[in-house]
Amino acid sequence: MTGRAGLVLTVLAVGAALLRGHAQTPPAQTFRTGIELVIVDVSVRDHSRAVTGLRAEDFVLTDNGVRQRIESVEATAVPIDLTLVVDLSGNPAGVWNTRPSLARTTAAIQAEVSEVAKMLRPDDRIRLLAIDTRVQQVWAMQPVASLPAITRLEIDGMAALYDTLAAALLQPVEPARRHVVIARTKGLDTISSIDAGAVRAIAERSDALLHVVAMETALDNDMALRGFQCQFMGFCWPTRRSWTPFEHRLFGPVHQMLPDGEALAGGAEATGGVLHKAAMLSVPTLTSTFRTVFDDFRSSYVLRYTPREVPAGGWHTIEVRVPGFRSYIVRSRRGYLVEEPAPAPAPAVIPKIPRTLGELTTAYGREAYRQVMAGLREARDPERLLRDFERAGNPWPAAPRREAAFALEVAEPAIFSTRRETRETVYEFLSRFSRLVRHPLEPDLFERYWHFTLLTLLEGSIRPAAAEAFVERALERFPDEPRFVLSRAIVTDQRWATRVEGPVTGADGLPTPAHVEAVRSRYAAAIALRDTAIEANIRLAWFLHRIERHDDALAHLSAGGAQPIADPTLRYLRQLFLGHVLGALGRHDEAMEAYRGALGVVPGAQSPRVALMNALVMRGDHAGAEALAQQVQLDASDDLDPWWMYWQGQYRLNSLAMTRLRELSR
Amino acid sequence: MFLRRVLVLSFVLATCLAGGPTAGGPASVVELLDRYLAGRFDAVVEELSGEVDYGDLLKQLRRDGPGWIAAGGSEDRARRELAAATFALEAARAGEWREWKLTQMQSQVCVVDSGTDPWCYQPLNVLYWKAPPLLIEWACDLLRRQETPTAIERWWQLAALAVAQRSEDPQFLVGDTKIGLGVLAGEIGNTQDEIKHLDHVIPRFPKEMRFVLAQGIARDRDWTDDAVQVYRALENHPDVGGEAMMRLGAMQLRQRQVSDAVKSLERAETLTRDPYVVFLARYFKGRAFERQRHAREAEGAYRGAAAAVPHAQSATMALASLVFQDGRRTEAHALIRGMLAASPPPADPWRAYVHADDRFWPQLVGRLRAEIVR
Repeated sequence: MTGRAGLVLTVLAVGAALLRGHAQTPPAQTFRTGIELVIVDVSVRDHSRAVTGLRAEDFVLTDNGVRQRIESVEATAVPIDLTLVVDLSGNPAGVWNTRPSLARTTAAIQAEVSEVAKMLRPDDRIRLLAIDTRVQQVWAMQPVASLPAITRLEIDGMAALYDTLAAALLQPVEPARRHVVIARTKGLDTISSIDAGAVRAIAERSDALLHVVAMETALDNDMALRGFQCQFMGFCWPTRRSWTPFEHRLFGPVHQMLPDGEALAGGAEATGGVLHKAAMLSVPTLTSTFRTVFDDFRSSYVLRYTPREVPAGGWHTIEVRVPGFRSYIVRSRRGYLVEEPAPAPAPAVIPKIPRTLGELTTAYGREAYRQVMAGLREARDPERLLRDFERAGNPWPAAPRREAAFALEVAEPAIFSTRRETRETVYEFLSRFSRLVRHPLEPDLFERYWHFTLLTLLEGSIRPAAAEAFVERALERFPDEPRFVLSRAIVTDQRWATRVEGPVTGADGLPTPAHVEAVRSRYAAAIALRDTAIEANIRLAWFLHRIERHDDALAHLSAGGAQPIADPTLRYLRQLFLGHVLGALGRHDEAMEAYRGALGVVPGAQSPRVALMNALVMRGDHAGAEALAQQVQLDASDDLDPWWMYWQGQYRLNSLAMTRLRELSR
Repeated sequence: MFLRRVLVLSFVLATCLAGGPTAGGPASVVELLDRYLAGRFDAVVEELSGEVDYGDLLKQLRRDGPGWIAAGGSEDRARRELAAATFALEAARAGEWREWKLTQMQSQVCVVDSGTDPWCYQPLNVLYWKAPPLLIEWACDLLRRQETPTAIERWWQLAALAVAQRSEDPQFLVGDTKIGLGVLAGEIGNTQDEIKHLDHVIPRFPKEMRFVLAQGIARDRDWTDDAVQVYRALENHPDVGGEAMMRLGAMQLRQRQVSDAVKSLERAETLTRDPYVVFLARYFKGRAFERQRHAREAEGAYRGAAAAVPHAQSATMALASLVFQDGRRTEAHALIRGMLAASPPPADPWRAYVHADDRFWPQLVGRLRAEIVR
């Protein structure tokens, strides 16, 4: 270690008030800076001897070429924030080497850190980083008086040297403190994201002073072992961990500096620091390096000035000289950067009715679902919304489930669109998402709910030809899911109900035998499953009633009512259908009883009242029918008649399904 | 030759002496299997992660395993087989980063014929498997005895693939990837000792595309044409298409086909939402853009990757570096601060790039363990 000093500059920025002032005035046109005070550490040496006793007038300091007035010169060093970087990496692809002992390594590092800590003053602080497969922060910055013991180190083997150095350099420096980085490295990088050139570029603009201590002998030993094992034992290839993305070395076999080493040395020098290599008989250590650096600090000067007549923002090149003494070597860093303050982004406000995709995704991200639904209800061009969504990509890349749930929300207006082109677009969109929602290993609960929510929408749109493909896809993933089995039956049933889709109607207007069999067998499959048996029985009964197989229909309604029905919609529909079937069988009193039963479930429903009215007329009770008719007209009940949504299948469950899906996507 | 033998023997002896069992002696395999079957999984794994002689463990498992399985009677046989196979997998995973295989270069052999000059040739290298891969194969063989593969065997095979990929050794999965490349590249001569694990698995689960993808991954370092073929064939598969495209893009980037790489990586993103794949596709895209000196696009790609796996170090570092060099130091500081403060740190997909399906290990072993205690 030579006597080269590390010098630190600290920029004192004044914070919010000045930043505000800065924002108001274009920095390139003003000489009023956002910098109140600049502090520059300067080391002056006459050969190996530190020069003391200099005064302000002995120095000349220029900032971007403009001479500045030095306000004060202090010989007392400012407090130090020290970042120590230790290298845990081994050679993972080593041929047959012993695994480093974690306990031994930890103890050795702990001892070294303690040694360094002893040299520091009470107001100094230490951060400890470790180089390995990933950057490890063993501690964040700690007061030297209360250093914790090292309890957590990971030795994985690869070397993220450049990433770790950059992480050490990319630290803000508090006003009136200096940041020193002392990094000990084996000189090998195997997995970093950035290269040595980037570390150099960062160092040149960093506020830290960087010293790199090269442990060339560790690499020598490693290479010697490898060579020995290959040449004399025939073991030339890894015995474990055979993947090394690349090998970037600082030094070659005879310790000559390679381009990466030069880049790092250049970076260290730009900060005022040095890359320390082994000398003839001595190997630099963390402790010895720090001792030298610390000695330099003790004998360095702290110059303070307020920049004048230089633009505030951007890079400031500084130069310090002691013109009266030509033999003096003056070291300070080469400059500092004043960041142009970026305008603070305005917080996104969620409008009452979000209309653009950005507004909708912002609202959805904040779980403002009512607003999202209101916005989607009023969407004028659902197709464009879909295209925008596809083009923009996932707004929540770390939460793909949220995107999938939102895809269904944004698809709904298009599914119900009257425009064929819009519907075709949404079907394509949904096909793509039905792939994206798949878990890579197996169908999971979220995917199940996603398909179910989608099927409720498609059933609700009553476009069975389009829905069938999605039902089949859902069943392919979840063959035993009762709701999907029922869905298959419902969309098949919808074919005859809509009549416009598919050749399912015979010349007599009744469904073809093949269609009857398809509907019957598919409902039968759902009847065989406990969760859907009731609804499937009720729906099959209604189908049979419509093709005038009333006895069979009655049997299924009886089967459907054989156990308590929890879902009020199904309870209601069963009673309503029972009334119709019994009426068709001429059992009018029982039919009227059934209609009354339906009204008992949904008192305001219109269908059973109208049916009851008809039954009264059939029996000749005109007065009773008239009274009921008046009641129907006068009653302003808000009850939604479930019959009106009968053909929309399980769409009644859409809201619940969507809520569950949102929960699962959080 | 003699010197080499002496050195090998002394090295092996020294290794054995240094790594021998401790005085107290570890639990026997039968004891460990009993504990594992009883659901004390974490305790057993902890023990397997200590100072374990995996060679001895394999020996015990081969000797005592069948008896232990049979001891439960026919009713419990399937469960015990699964427990033993999963135990072997856990042991292999605990030991694979300590020892996996040895490939030994042979001395030249010279033939001296009377009347002619001696001629010499270099025999191919010799491969010796260490215990962890053999543990996997012991268990795989145990499960394969059942003619019809079961659903739980699929889970076990997926878990075995995860362990094998974490070993970083493609040879175990598909055989010698240096074949035809010669002695100095590591080509081996004792091909009869190859395991080629995937050759056992794929016929049993021909519809499981993860095993097919694994073939591509295993080959993409040395047999790039084969890997390209696999990746392209899987492009439209809903479960692995995205990952296949991402790996194709990464390979193209390595081969300096930067424009093709960007296309493949962008395609990957349209095919999957698996954060691991999305992260890597964006991260590699960032590297491709950096190579093209398109700093703004690179920044966007790294930002996207960091959004897919927040605080993952590779993308965060790359992004912070670009941002800082662009003069936005406050943002760079904030990125690094967040990255270092993340606790626990997120698994970085780039650091686990070759470990592939190992990312599913918790889910896979969880399923196997649940089946064992069911």
